[in-house]
Amino acid sequence: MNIERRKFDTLVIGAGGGGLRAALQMAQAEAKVAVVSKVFPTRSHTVAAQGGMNAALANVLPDNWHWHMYDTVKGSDYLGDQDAIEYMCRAASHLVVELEHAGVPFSRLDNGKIYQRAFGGQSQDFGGDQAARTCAAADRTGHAILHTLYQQNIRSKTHFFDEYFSIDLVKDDEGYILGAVVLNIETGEPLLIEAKTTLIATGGVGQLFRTNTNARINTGDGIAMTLRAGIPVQDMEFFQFHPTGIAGKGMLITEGVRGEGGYLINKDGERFMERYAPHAKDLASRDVVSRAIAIEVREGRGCGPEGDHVLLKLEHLGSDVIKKRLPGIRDMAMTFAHIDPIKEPIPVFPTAHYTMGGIPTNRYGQVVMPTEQSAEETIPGLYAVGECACVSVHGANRLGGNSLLDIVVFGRAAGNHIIDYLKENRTHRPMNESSVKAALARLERWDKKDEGENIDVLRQELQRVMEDYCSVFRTEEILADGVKKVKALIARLDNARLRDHSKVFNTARIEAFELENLMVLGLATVESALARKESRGAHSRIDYPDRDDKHWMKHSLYFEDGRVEYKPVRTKPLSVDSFPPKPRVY
Amino acid sequence: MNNLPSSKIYWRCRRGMAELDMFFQGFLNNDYQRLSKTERDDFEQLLTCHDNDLLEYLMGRTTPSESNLINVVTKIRQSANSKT
Ligand SMILES: Cc1cc2nc3c(=O)[nH]c(=O)nc-3n(C[C@H](O)[C@H](O)[C@H](O)COP(=O)(O)OP(=O)(O)OC[C@H]3O[C@@H](n4cnc5c(N)ncnc54)[C@H](O)[C@@H]3O)c2cc1C
Repeated sequence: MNIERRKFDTLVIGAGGGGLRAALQMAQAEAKVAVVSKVFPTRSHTVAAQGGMNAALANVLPDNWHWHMYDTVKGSDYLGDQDAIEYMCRAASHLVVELEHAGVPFSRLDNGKIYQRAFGGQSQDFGGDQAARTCAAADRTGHAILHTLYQQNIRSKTHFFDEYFSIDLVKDDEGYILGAVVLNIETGEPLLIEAKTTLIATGGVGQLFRTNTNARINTGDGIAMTLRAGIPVQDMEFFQFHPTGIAGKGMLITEGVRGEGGYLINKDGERFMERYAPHAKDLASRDVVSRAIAIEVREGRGCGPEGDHVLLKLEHLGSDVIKKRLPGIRDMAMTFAHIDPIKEPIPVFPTAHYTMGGIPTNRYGQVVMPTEQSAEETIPGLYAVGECACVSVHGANRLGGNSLLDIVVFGRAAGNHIIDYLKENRTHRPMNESSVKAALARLERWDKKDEGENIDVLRQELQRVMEDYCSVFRTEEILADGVKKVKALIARLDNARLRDHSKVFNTARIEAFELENLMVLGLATVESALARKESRGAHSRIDYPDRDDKHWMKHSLYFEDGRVEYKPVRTKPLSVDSFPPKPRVY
Repeated sequence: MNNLPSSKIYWRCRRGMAELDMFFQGFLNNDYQRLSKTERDDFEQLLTCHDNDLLEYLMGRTTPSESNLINVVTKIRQSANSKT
C-alpha cells in the first residue's frame, strides 16, 4: 500500500506527563522511541495542573504511604484496585524526589524541605485529622513536570512527531498491536508508524460535557481507538465532576481555595457542607461536595436569579491572604466571572473534570481484557498510562493530586515493562496490510463532498445531551433517554460532511475524527451508567441511592457492540492487609 | 481581503488549558479579522509562548518582555472583557 512508513522499537501516542515519563524511561535505556502528539508536547493538558502531586513525605504534618493508600481506597469508594494503589502510594515519595532531581522546582518550606498543602480527602492515621500531602511547584506543577520531562526526552534522543494525529491502531490476526496510522496535520498525509510496542497516553475525554474544565484537545482519542481495536473500555460511568467550576463557564476554582479556608454557602447563607460531611465539611471528597451542591440547587436553595449555582465565599480570608495565596483564583474570577472575590463570593457549580474510566490495564501498564483463557489476558504489544488508562487507582472517584502521581508512577512502570518486553521481542512482526487499509478507510470516509450535517453542531448537541442526561444526578429514565439521544446523534454522524477538503492543516478533518471518538465514548459512558444500578463515587443514581457492594463491587467493561460485562475489583494489596469496604463518611 | 485566521493559526490556538482555549476562540471568531498585517505576525509570534506564560499575559499578571506582543495581548484581553 502506498503510504509512508517509519519503524521504531516503541511508539508512544500522547506527550503529556504520562507519555513523556514512559518515553524517557525507554529512551534512557536506549530504545528507539517515537512520540506522537496532536499539539506541541508542552501544550498537552498536563500543563493545566496547578494544584500539585501527592506523596506522603510528612514534611508538614505526620504522614506515611499506608495512610495515603487508605485515603485513595476510600476515596475510590472501594472500586480502586488495591494492588495498584499500594504500588502507587509506595512509589510516590521516590518519584517526587526523582522529579526534583530532574529539575522540577518544588516549592519549599523555610527549613528547605518540599512544601506540602492540604487537599480534599487526605487524612492522618486512617481517617483521622486532615493531612498535608500535596507537593507543588508554585501554581505551575503540571507545567514544570511537563517541561522537565520534555527537555530530558530531547536530551535522550526521543523522536517527536509534533502535530501528528493518531487515527487508529494497527493489529494482526493473532491480536498483536503493530503500531498506528497517524496523520501529519500540516501536510494532510498519513504515515504508518510500525513499532514492537505501542503505548497510549492520550489523556481524558472532558469534552464529552458542555461545562468542563478541560482543554479542547481532550477528546479521548486513544480510548476510542482501543475500543475500535476490539478491546473493551472500563468503568466509563465514573466521570468526576469538580465541585467548584465557575458557574456557566466551567473553569476550575481549585480545591486549594477551600484548603485555605474558603467555604460554600447556599442562598440562605448557610454553610451547607456541615450537613453533608460534618467532619471534613468543604474538604470532603469531590463527589460528595459535587452531589451536595447539586442537591442544594435541586431542592431550591441555589443562588442567583435562576437558582442554578451556589457561592464560594472567601471574603472572610481578607484581602491580604487572597492576594498573597490565591492570586490566580482572584484573576480567574475577575476575568471569567467578572467578580472580585475580595468583595463578593464566586458563583460555582460542578463541572466535568476527570475521566476515571478508560483503557483497562494492569499495574505494568499492559492493556488487559477478558478472554476464554483468562479474566485479564494481556494484549501483546499494547500499553496505556495516564488519564486514558484505568489501572485502576482512582476507582469510582479520584482524589485531587493523585493524577499527576498516577501518570509519573505508571508512566515509569510501563516504560520499565516495555524495556523487558523489547529484550524478548527483538524484531518487528510482519505488517498486517488489511488493518492498515481499515485505518485509511476512516480517512477516506471524510472525502465525500455532498451536503450533510455540520460537525460543530453535532459536537455541541452531544455535549448538551451528555450534560442533561448523564451528569451528577442519574436515573433509569434519564439515562435510557440519554442512550437513545446519543444513538440518534451517532446515526446523524453518518451523514456529516466536511466543508473544507484541502489537505494542508485541515483542522476540520481533525475535528471530525475527534467527534467520532467523542460519540463512541459518549455512548460507552451512558450505557455503562445505565447498567450500573447503585450509587458509588462519582456515579450517583437517584433511584439506587446506596452503594451495593454485594452486587456491584466490580468493574464494568463496555464493548463496542454495546455489551457490558464485569470483572472483580482487585481487593488484595501487594503486601499489606486489604481495606474492606466501609461506609464512606467524611 | 480575507483576513480570517488560517487553519494553521486556528490549530496553534489549541492549547493545554481551557482558559486559553476560551480566550483564543472568542478572539479568533470575533476580532482576529480586524488585525493589521503586523498585528497578525505578532499574534503568530505570541502563539509560540509557553501556555503558562500566555495565561499570565492574558490574565494581566505580567506583560511579555517582547514589547511588540503587548498590543495583541491587550486586544485579546479586551475581546474577552467585551463578552459576558
Ligand atoms: C484544570 C485542571 C487542573 C488539574 N490539576 C491537577 C492537579 O493539581 N493535580 C493532579 O494530580 N491532577 C490534576 N489534574 C488532572 C491532570 O492534569 C491530568 O489527569 C493529567 O495531566 C493527564 O495527563 P496525561 O499524560 O494522561 O494526558 P495529557 O496531559 O492530557 O496528554 C495527552 C497527550 O495526548 C496527545 N493526544 C491526544 N489525542 C491524540 C491523538 N489522536 N493523536 C496524537 N496525540 C494525541 C495530546 O497531544 C497530549 O500530548 C488537573 C486537570 C485539570 C483539567
